Amino acid sequence: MQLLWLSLFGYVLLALESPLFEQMGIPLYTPDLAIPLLLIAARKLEDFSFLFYAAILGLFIDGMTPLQPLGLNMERVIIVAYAVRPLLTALPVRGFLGYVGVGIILSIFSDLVLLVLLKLLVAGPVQYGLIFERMIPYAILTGATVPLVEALANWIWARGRPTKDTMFHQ
Amino acid sequence: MRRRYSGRPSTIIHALLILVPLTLLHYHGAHVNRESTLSRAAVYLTLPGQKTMGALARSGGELANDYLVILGVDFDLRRRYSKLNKEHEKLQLLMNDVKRRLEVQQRRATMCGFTFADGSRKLVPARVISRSTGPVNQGLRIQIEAPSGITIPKDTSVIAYPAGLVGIVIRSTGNTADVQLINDKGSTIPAQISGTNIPGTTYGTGTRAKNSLKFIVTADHDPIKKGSTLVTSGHGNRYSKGIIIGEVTSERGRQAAAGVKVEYTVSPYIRFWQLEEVFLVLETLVEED
Repeated sequence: MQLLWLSLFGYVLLALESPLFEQMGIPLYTPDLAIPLLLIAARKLEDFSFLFYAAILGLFIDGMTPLQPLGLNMERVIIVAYAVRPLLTALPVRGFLGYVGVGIILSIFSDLVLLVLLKLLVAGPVQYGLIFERMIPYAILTGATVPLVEALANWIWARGRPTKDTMFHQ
Repeated sequence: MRRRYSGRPSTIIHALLILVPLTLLHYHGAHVNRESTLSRAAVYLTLPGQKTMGALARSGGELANDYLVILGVDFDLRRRYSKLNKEHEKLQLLMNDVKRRLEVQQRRATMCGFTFADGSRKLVPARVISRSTGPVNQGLRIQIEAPSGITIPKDTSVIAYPAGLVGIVIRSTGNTADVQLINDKGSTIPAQISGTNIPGTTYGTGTRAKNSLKFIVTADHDPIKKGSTLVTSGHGNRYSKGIIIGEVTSERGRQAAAGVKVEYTVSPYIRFWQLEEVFLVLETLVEED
C-alpha cells in the first residue's frame, strides 16, 4: 500500500516539476526529485520494495523526458538507491540542514553515475561539460527540495491515514 | 515449515534490478531514434500525468500573474501605465519590423520556388507536452489533438508558424512524437543562405550556447553578411525545403577545418522554451488503421 501511495506521489510530483520550472523560467535547474523521493521511501519501505520503487521512479523519469533512452534514469536511480541507506546509516542526519546536505551529496553522486552511464552506453554527442558546470548549483537546488518534499509527503500522509475515530465508525 | 519472507531481496533480484535497466539502456542508447514496445509503454504511462500537470501548471502560472497584476494596481498605477505604454510602442515597432522582414522572406521563398512557400504541404497543429533541457538532449514531446487518428511519421519537419524551423521528429508513438530541436548537439541540417546559392550545414550547439547554431560553409564563397537569413536547402530529403532557420549574427566567419571551411553563428527566430503550439509539415496525411 505504501509502495502504491509513494509511486502515485512520485508520479504526480515528477509530472508537475518540469512544467512548473518552465513557468518560472529556469528549466535547466529543475531539481532531481528522485533524490528526495528516495530519501522518503528509504524510511518507509523495506529493502525489496525500496529498490523496486527506485526502478519505478526511474521508469517514470525515462518516460517523461523526451528523447531520453529508456533505462538511463532507471539505472541511475537504482544505483543511487543502493547508496541511500548506507549513507543514512553512516551520516548523523538531523534537522533541515542535515537533509539538505544528504540531498546535495546524493545529487552529486547521481550526476557522476549519469556521466559514467552516458559515456559507456549512450551514443551521440552529449554535453559532458554541462553536467560538470551545473553539478553544484543543481545539487544545492536538489538538496533544498528534500525538506520541502518531505514536509509535503508528511502532510499528505497525515491526512490520508485513517485515524482511530474514523476506524471506529467504519 | 514455511519460511516467512523477511523483505530482504535475494542476490538474483539484486542482479536483475541492476542488469535489466542496463540491458534496456544498452539497446536504447545505441541510437537516438531507437525505440521499443517498452519505451512506447513508458510514454503512454506517463503522458496523461504530464498533460494534466502541464495544464495545471500553466493555468496556475496565469492565475498567479493575474493576481500579481491586481495587487500592483493599488501601489503605482500611473508609473506602471506609462511604462507599459512605452513597452507597447516598442513592441509595436518591433512587430512591424518582423512582419516586414517575414514578408520579404516569404516573397524570396516564393520566387525561389520553395515548396514550403507555395503552401503545397499540409500543416498539422500539435501541442507541446513536455521539454527536455538536460545535457543529454534538447527535445520536445508534442501531441496532435485534431484530427484524431493521424500517426506522425519519423523525419517530419516541425515548425512554429511563421517564425521557422523547430526541429525534426525522431520518435513517434501514435499521435505523440519526440522532436529533436535544431539546437540539439546532434542536430545537422543542410541549409543555404536565402536569396543566394551558398549551401552549407547547420549544427546545433546545445543548451550551453543558449539560442545559437553554427553554420559551416566552404571557404570559396563570398563572405556572408550579418543579418542574412538561413533556410533549409532540402538536401538529403530529411528536412522540408525552404523553411526559415534563423539569422546570421556573426560579423564575419571564423576559420574552421584548417581554413577550408568558414563558421558563422546563427540565431534562430524561435525561443524554444516558450513554444506551446507547433506545426508538423506533412507531405501526406497518414491515417491510422
